[in-house]
Amino acid sequence: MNSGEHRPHPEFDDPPVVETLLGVEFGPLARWQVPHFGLFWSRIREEYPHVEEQPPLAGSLPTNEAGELILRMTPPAVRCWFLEQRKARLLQVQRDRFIHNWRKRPAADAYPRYENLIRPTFEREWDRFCEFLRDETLGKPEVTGCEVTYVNQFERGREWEQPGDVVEVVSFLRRIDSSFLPAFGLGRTSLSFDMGSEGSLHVDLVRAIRNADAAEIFQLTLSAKGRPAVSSTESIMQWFDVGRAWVVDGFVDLTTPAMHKLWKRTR
Amino acid sequence: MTTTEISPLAPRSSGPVFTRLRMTPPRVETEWSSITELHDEAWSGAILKVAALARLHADWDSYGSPPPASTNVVLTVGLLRETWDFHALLSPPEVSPTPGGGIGLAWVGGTKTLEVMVMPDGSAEYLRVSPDGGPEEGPLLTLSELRDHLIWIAST
Repeated sequence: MNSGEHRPHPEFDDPPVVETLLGVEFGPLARWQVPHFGLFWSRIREEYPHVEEQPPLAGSLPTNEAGELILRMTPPAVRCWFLEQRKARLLQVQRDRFIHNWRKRPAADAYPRYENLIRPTFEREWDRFCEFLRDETLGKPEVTGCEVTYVNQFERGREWEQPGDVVEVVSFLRRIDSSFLPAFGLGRTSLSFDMGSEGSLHVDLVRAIRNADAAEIFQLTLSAKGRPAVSSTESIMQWFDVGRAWVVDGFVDLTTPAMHKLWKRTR
Repeated sequence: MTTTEISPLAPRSSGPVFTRLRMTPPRVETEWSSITELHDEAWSGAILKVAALARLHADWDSYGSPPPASTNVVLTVGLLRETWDFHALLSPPEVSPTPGGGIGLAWVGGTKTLEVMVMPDGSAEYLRVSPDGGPEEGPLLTLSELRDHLIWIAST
């Protein structure tokens, strides 16, 4: 049932994944100010020449040991996106978040693999970020949560023709034999799975239009969220390995063998 | 429904208008991928009809018209996404392809009608008609102009 770290995980030659992200949430850095975004950018600008401001991500609500909500009077957060030249990778930074995203660019990009690019890139960039915090005496991040997310898109004309065909793509829905109900329509389906002490796996299936090209899709997002044992890079990376295992093994369980064939499953 | 900001469109004289439409989504999720989520609402049905125009075959009208350009389909979907908050006030627009490869949207509010045409070159025009006055037409240059027209038709 559980996703062991050491057994081989499924692999596909042509998976429907369009985005992956590894992210860390930590206690807000008290001395972090807006100029620090620029100082950090000066260190990574050669690799990430584009920058965008974004509204902040909401963090978990802070509570004390008794579980009571703590009201913090802190300045409003800012989030910066640092994008690499091809805009296939992105670093998101705010005073309590650090996230690395990879996304598929049109047609040519193959999924670069967790072991080959996603994991080592996060580890390198996180270390670089922590080194920056150390040099600027901004403190050491106390990690409160980690996230591994894979976004998969099923396109009309490739995985399905009619919306009701989604039951042939995912394994957790089935065609309804009804003389009353019409065909399966629009909407969002959410599931969650307990990962025990590691956290939880969240699954969302939504019908959508992809903004880049107006393609009709179903988007299946799997997010493992939890807390590493300690705040060290090693512990964070170990948690990512577990979270990623839940995501990829969960993906196989949540999709059908016919689709695995379409996506050229090799393991 | 994912919301996005649209910057003012460029002046009509400087070239195709809607091709200069820039959408900068203020993302409040960790994900980067940008989608318009479809809910069980009529407005989503209109968005799907626009998306389906991309699948029209050439000569769909027997007069040699091409299907709408994919860039115009993307932009028209964006217009509907940005005006989705009117769904409580207005029925969704009728969606139709127009000869030459454009896209038409038509709203009806009581005795008023508003038509928006996304032209094959990416510019846009509007025509509004009410029993109180003659028809009024002109270029549609900004998203806020479209929203003003929708407020006009909703205030029946």
